[in-house]
Amino acid sequence: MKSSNEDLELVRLYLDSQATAEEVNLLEQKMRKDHQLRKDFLSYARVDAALPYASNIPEKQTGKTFRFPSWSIWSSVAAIIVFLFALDFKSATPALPESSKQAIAYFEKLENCRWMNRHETVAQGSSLFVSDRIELSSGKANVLFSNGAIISLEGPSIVEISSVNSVFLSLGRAQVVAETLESHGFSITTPSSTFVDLGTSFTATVAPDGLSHLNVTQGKVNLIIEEDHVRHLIEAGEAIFVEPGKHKVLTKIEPGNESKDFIFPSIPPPSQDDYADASHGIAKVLVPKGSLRKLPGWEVNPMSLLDGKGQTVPDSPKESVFLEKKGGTFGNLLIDLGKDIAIDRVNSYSWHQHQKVKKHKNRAKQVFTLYGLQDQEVPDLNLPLIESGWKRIARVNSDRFFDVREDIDRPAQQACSIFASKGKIGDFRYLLVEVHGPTFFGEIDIFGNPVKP
Amino acid sequence: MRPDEQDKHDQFLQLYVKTESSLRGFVRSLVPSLEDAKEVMQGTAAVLWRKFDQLDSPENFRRWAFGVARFEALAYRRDQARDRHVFSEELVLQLAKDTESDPELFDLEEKALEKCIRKLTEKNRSLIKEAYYTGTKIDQIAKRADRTPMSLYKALHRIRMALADCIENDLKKQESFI
Repeated sequence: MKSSNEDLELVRLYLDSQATAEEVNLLEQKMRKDHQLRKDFLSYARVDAALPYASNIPEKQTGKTFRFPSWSIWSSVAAIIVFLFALDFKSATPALPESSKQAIAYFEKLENCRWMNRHETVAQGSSLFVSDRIELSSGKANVLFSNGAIISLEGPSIVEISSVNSVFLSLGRAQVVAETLESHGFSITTPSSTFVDLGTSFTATVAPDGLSHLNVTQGKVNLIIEEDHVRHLIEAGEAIFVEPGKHKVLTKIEPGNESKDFIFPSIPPPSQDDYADASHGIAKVLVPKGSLRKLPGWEVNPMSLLDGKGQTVPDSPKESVFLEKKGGTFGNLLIDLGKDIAIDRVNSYSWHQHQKVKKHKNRAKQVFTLYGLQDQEVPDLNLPLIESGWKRIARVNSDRFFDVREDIDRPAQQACSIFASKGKIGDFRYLLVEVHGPTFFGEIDIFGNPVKP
Repeated sequence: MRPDEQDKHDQFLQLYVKTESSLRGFVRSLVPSLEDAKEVMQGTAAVLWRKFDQLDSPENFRRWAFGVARFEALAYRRDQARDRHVFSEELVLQLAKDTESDPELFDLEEKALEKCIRKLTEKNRSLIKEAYYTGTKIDQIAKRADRTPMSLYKALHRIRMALADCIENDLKKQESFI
């Protein structure tokens, strides 16, 4: 590096987040004029960026580096970093003699498998070692671990074997069955969280953008977001979404008892105690895009979303805030909380079941994206939301959540609860519900407190 | 997943895997911390996936991805500007321009980095491993090693500079062989 030590120290301070405003300003002035300093700055930054993912930080060079046969180191390095922005999961590959490595799992079953590396040759019975990666493009593969745990992968999926009792799922879908005593505690880590099996079966899914989904089919799973966050126990029949990002927003959806009391397993019924409740006279609901269903003689006031109660009967258009689909979209609901509120939780409720055609409960599903905006002028809602300053909080799709394949599978009454793994979701004055489905919303509760100046 | 969606998924993955490391280095140069870079990369990946249908040709993926990442970094910088010390938008754009002029450089650098890490002393490799791979906070490493955090920051600074020099020399050597 050709820049002066003094200038390089400024670079360090900046990239270690230790620079004062004056130092940042000084570095900026120098970099604007000095091409070499910019060049050194960029080189330094790239080293810093690459180090957490460098494939070899060996303790000692004692032999050749062993990798799973025919998986080139470089394709592994390249693939390892896919979507793994949230965790430093990558393990150093110890340079051990091949003979000293022990297989800890093997491919028990392969069904129509296509691998991302088209030249890959993997056969039933192939052994797997710690740090091996499985990059399945399509098909199904079962991996049996020496402790008895079985992971079923569905392509496209990328999984790394972290230990005899854990894997890292960077992308795709993996089902774990841990029925043996030795396999209890088997964990799947995703870019946003870790799912620890407490017996005996669950499915983890990771979308390309890092959204993780946990679905527990049998037993219980401990959901660990960060070591210092509250752990969530997810039981059989329950599922949860974990949004990637700093705040790690969780979305839980539950079926209700299909009565006007709106009773759910753990989500409370519609409340009059939330910050946005209409009784406080603070919050407002507007429909800036789209239109509410109305018929001659009646129309629904969107403020009924904040009245502290849901519908009284299952198929009640007059008590439901329902955006009609027009031109392929449903529109938005804008909730103005009057000033910045530190939001802890947002709960939404829906209920719909046709009185005669019982399987017709299409409008019970909740499909929306929730955005937040701090106290400022609301931008033109025809512009792309994130680009115009809205922060995406959570994506909700209750059909995906309940794995609805037939209409009859869909719960007629649903509650969705959005909250942060630790602390608040964020400070927002406005919440925007971008509706993507035909939902009979009965209530939206927003819990939080005004941001202290 | 429908076959057409799966093909799209596969194609996205293949293109993304090829580009990701260079994109990460690029993003890191535009934001003040590794944590910020992770946030921006996450946003970038989400946008790339969401708008993948808009990509006119796979050959343009890298350029498109760099453009999206630059935009995401600028947006992130604007969000953070209230309470953080960050570069002006003009300088960020200048850095982006400098970087985009030679995107292939990242891949070569990353390969060289692997070689250069092997040349470090065992003590320095351990420090890198603790600070970067295990993600242990500098304060904690310092406490365990009975050193001051500042002395570790300085030590890491020297290692990063040594690695950057080593990479530059390695690339020069490679050029001389061509």
